[in-house]
Amino acid sequence: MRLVSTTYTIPKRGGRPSENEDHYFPYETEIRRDHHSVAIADGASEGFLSKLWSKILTISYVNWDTTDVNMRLFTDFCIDIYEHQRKRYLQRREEEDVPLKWFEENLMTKGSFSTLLGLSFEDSNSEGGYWTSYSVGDSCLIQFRENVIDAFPEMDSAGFGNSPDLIASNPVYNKELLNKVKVKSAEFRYGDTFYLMTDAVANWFITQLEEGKRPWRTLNEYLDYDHEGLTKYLTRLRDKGRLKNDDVTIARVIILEE
Amino acid sequence: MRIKLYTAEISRGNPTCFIFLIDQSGSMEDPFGGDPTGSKARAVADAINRLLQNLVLRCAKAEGVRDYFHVGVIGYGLKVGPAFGGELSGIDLVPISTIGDQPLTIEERIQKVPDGAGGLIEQDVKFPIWFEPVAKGPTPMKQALKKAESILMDWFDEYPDCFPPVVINISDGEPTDGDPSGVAESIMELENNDGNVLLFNLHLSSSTAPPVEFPDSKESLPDEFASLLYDMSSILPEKIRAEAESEGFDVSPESRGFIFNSDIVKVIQFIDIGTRATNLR
Repeated sequence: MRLVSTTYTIPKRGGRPSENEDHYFPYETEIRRDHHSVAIADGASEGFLSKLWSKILTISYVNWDTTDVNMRLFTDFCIDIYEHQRKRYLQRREEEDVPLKWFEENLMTKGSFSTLLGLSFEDSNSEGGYWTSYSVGDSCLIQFRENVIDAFPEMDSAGFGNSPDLIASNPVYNKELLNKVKVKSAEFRYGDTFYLMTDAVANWFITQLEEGKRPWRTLNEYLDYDHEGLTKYLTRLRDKGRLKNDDVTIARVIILEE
Repeated sequence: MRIKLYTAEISRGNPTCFIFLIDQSGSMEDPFGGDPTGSKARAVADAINRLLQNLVLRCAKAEGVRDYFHVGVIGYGLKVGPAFGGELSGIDLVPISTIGDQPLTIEERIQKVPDGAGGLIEQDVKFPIWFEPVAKGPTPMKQALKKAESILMDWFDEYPDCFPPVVINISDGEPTDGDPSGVAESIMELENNDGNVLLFNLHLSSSTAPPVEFPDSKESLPDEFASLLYDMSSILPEKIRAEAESEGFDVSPESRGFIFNSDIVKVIQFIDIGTRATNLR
């Protein structure tokens, strides 16, 4: 089994690339062995070090690389890494003689928040196998085979808001976590394409489907040949108010037999 | 009639502004909500400090505070004008990052915050202070509203496409310079393509009557001062009303941005600047 991925990410209009709090992992375009998992996460605008948190969640998900994730254990594992990184951050600030300001201290007490959408594949026969996805929040997965579309979590365009479920880096805010986790398992065939998208572009994609359009064609053309063109296209959508001005991340994963 | 959407994006390139009018008159020395140990002036200082703190926290990121908001605080009592002290004194509108950097002092407090699962937890927090209680002189509320109106007109010249500014008046509702209703009306009529300026009122009273939040009629209000401030409050736009409803407030299409003896910080959390952490509610 071979996963071929193409990724694209841009910050919200007016934001710098360094301010983009979405994260996708793995970075490689081809994954032959080892990992059969991919993940995407959208760090919340409100929160401190959200970018770090979304990065830790995605990398850890891929490194766990299992179709059977104990989300409580997984989150605790990620929190340990976050704590370690947070201490290193504080140490760096101290070394640079830049003490935390009052608002940084308050935000750090609360911690960071992010969505997570993880996807793992397991091959079971010559045709393909099964995928399993764990999701917290409104990042979306679309499975595509010829003209057949399957979306997870199941959402319509009205289901996107500003207060999605999130995983917190501070365990006191994760008491309801297990009620927020959605899980789905289904079959895949070699040649299937999966799109993992953060909420703004997922909302656009699903709206297009609802209008009977074929958004994957547009995406594929740009993802294959013209990332700059995709940026211009998304900018036009933002200008027309058809795409919420938010960080955008799209990961397209094609599953090949070998 | 043009539909007021209140959907303009708030960004560093297209910020919006908040103007807080704070009553610093002599009558604010009276007890607050029937509690002889706390004055209304103390309640005003507490409210404005918490409002500013909340605005800063909403805009703060690891690399600094993003200037989504510019904020003016107009005091009215012995005089009417910008109320910030220190290096910010005399300035009508201050970027939120500058406010974050310049509190007068910072206290350590223990705060009970929601844990996202219906409970409360205690957290050590820094509590910045920009304003100490002041209670001197008359209550020139009308003049303060006029000052706000003039600042808003300049703001619209500079940012015509902004999310409509929000004015929050914090007072015991006993003006001494005449009926402020006309000026309040003029402020609520200021508009751009996205909507009208929103005027909200926090009424801090000595009355022991129960708190009231976003009422849709004057029936439940305890006195004429509350009625005056109710009349001077904008009807909540649909988008903000939906946010209030999702937070559990009992609101109707006629609900107004009026709070009696309660917490007004929630109101500014309803203004959208990005993904919110519901876990923190």
